[in-house]
Amino acid sequence: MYCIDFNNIKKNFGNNTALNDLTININCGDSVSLIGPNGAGKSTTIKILAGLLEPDSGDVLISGYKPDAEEAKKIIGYLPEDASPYLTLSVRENLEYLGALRGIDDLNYKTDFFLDFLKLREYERNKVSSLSRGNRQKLSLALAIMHEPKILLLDEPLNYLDIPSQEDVIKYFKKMDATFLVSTHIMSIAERFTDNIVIINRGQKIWEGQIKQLKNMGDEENASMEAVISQIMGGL
Amino acid sequence: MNVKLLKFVLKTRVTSGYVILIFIFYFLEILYAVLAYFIGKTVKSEFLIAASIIASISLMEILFAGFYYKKSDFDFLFMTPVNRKELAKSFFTTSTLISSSFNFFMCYILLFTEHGYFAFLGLIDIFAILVINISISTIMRKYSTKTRIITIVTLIIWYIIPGFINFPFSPVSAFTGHIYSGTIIGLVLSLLLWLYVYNKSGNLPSTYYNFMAKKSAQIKENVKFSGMSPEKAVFSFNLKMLGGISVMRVGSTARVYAPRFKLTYSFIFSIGIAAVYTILFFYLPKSLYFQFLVGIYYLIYAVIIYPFTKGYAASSTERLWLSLMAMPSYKYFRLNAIGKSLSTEIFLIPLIIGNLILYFIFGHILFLRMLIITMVFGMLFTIIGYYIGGFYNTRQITDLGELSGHARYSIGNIITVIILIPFVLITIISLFIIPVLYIGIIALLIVSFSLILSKKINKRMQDSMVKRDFV
Ligand SMILES: Nc1ncnc2c1ncn2[C@@H]1O[C@H](COP(=O)(O)OP(=O)(O)O)[C@@H](O)[C@H]1O
Ligand SMILES: [Mg+2]
Repeated sequence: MYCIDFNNIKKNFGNNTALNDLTININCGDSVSLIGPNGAGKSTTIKILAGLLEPDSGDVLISGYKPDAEEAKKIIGYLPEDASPYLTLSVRENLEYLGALRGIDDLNYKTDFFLDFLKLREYERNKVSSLSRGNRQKLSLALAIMHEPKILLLDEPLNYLDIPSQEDVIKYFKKMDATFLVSTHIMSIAERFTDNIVIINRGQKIWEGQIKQLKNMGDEENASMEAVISQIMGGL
Repeated sequence: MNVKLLKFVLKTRVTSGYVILIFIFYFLEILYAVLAYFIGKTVKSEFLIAASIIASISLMEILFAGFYYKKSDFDFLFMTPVNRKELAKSFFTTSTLISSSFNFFMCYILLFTEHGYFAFLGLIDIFAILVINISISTIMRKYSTKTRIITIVTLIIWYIIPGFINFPFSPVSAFTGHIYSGTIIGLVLSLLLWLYVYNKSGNLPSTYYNFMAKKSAQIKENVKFSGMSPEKAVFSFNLKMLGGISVMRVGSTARVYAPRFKLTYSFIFSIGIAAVYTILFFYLPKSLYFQFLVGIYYLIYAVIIYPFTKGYAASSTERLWLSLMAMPSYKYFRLNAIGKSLSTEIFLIPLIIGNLILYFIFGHILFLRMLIITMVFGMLFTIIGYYIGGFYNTRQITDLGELSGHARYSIGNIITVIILIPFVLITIISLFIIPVLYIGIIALLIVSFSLILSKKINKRMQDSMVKRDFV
């Protein structure tokens, strides 16, 4: 059984085709980067996996559950693109509120842990509306992972973060015993984080494999990953 | 004045459909003046109503005037090589133009001007009052909240005094029998303020940033959620604090605020409103006509606008990626809608008591009806507003304060208005016709309960919100 099982998914928004027969299967414990240009369908894919959006056709299963089943909600950690926590609540209140909604045990301990780990302690009582974009992203990350999910669906997770925080977060992810699907349009992030990538464009898969393989595909020696990907996309 | 720039700014504030709406409002204002010319008569006993209408609408104008500016204007537009001063002038002119369309809501008082032909002068008086309001609002941006509140309250008191006593020295006096002194004060003051703000408006970006920076970032004491069940957490969120995020939108412009007040403060505020409301009836002439008139205004604000806005705002500020990843949509939406409606009810308690006192003193059944309408409709309208917002509101409140691309030219908001009309009608008619009150209560109960209880409706609301980028 795949932990992320996304088969022949189609999704239209009006006349606009977002996903066109897209299939992505991920084994439990694997980390996969979802790469593609703007509008490729990355966010739509992730929203469907998170159970927030219904596909027009195709089958989705998360560890064997329907994505919007309560069992699936317990094991999914979803971070949308440009995530925004509750703006009127303070940083600590956001963590506690969501922890309570999710019924997390030892919530005080978890809250304190994330405040320190992401260096948000000094903003504990700050309303989210007053936080900088980077700190807001850190808080959003904490909110997405504080219930120790087994399946992580992260849409551009490192946006707005400074380099040390990026490193911390990646290290933390790597320690987690979970399955990752991470969307990004920045190759270096994909490279630091995952072994496998799926490249999509216009809602279709155009390449799938290991990052190592991709590196060997360039025409010239030492061609950058970006160049290789542009080449793949150009060949379409 | 740079007309091209003005057009540009106007276009970035509102859609062309909205510009047409502005002109329709202007037209209606003139129509009102014409009407007043033929049927207008000065009725001394209506002065208080005139002053109250002006004061309350002025308050709204002052509060709304700042929301014509988007954050991106200051991050982007004001950084372009366009002449800053010219740009700022266009902004101020635009906000005058847009706001003045709302003068229509004051035009009722044209009927109280002294002679028919003063109705047209009255239109100018109303415009002058508007200019005073938005100039003060613009100047106030650089001052602290305390200064702002004191200034605004003083201004509003100045507007309302002529309603109570014979007082010629207020712009509002033009409508309370002192047409010349009122008009002169209004015109001179508005002209001075307009010129001042117009010429100083080049400082707008810096005052704007001051204003943003001054917003207090820290809250005094965190509300504790840990150890609570999910249900209790949602209720705490809704009942321990009032306010929530408010985004003021005019046309396609948005400004995000995240004010929050402890429930106790809001309750004290509500007691204040209830006291003013109750006392007002002692000053009003003891005729049913006036009591019903004030009653209608009261219902529109307390039972329709406040609860609907509250529910509507609640779904616009929803964070589905948090709440709906923790529990199914039907469960969460239901809890939150009930929590919000309880919070409305608490806020309305002083007004309910106010109506009860009025009923005992005046003995008129009218107050008993207002009491019932307040008690029942307010709660249910909060729930209905929450769902209308979820289904039709095209404007998710993001932290960036901007609209998503899908939202800009949507007709969702027009649909909202159309849906609201029957609710407004039921509320007002049930004040006069008892069977409508009963039928209204039953109908609203059915509507609210089906919204809260149906899994299907809640799921569809989730779909609808996610499709509009409400994540
Ligand atoms: N809510 C929506 N309404 C209409 N079109 C949408 C919506 N969400 C996404 N789309 C369209 O679907 C396509 C894929 O979008 P998205 O999944 O956001 O791409 P990506 O995340 O890769 O940039 C785009 O063409 C986008 O315009
Ligand atoms: Mg995206």
